[in-house]
Amino acid sequence: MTAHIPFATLIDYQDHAVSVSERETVESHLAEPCSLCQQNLQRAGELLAAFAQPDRTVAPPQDVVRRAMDAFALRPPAVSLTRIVASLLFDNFRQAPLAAVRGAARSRQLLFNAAEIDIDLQITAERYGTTLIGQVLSGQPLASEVMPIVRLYRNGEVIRTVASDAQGQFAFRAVTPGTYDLGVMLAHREVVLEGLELAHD
Amino acid sequence: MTGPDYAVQSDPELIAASLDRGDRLAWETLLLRYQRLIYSIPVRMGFSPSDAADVFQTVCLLLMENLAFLRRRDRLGAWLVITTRRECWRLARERQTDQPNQDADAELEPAGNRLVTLEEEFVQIERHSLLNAALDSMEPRCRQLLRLLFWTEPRPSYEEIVKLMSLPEGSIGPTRARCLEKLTRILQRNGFWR
Repeated sequence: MTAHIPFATLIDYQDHAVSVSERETVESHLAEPCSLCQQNLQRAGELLAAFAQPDRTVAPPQDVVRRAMDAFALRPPAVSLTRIVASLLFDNFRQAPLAAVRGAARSRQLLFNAAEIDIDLQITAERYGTTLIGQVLSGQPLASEVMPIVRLYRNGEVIRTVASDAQGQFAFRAVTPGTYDLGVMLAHREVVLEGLELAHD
Repeated sequence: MTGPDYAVQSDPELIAASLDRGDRLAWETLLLRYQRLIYSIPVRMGFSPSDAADVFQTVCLLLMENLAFLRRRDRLGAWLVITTRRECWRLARERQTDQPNQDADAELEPAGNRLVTLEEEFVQIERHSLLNAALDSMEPRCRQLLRLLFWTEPRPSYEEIVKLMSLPEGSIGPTRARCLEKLTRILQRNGFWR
């Protein structure tokens, strides 16, 4: 068998940029037959076809990519996180005078506490589902490279995940009715707000 | 001793390294490989740069959450296309607008004498994302040369490339061959020729 054809030559062959003698060399080698070079010839054609199309991809801003890379620090660990159930400190729906006021806000305001953090949560029923807006509050800088990732669970399964912003704020929108748990992932533990009842407007 | 060349590792290898060794560089390589794919879908569907960035973040987090549970690690690109489109529709529902074209699959665009569907365009975006990632992972000289030779319109002549890159006369051929071999090795591993 003759020597395999370099990929660059196969590119030229597909691009009709070889001399007559080079073309004969390529074609006689392919006819031996050489399945490797035939496969490479096909690949050269596909590569040229991709180059022939205008590039319509758009690169995301670098800070956006960096933030996604940093989230790796908060990836699910191989072992289970220590789970801490947060305590409810405040619920405006349990404030009788407020609830009785005509035209009272449709938003439910909740405040939870666990370990060194408080979690402020506002639940608003809307036409297209429920919006949960929250903020992780801490008197001390959180012991992680990035702000916490927040997960929404239903029946024990993660159905949504968001990263909180630099102020610890996060939001889940258009959530369908049901009972949910909300998990705030900190270093080595997860603070869980259990049994959040969400309903349509 | 040098570390692994991440650019020539396959998606299943990078996923395994991320999961088993907690290899952050493997995770970053996956994101760099598919960053254009994930971001370009919401852009193509008509979302603003800010919304596209939100979709990007959400999809990357979903990927991180689901890395261990992907049934076909060799089909990560397809999973990302589906997941990103799903996130786009969810965001559209949140916005309660018809901003992105929900009939986008029917929005066709002439390409020669036939029409291109959005599905076909996403396949092309995936291939171009992998091609861009492969080029970006190469040494700058190779990257610039291959872009000038193959992905610049109008295609410059060899003489113009020699001037642009300050190359010695007659050096394009061997450099081109070496760079193409390197590009081939990366594309074989990153799934471009799946």
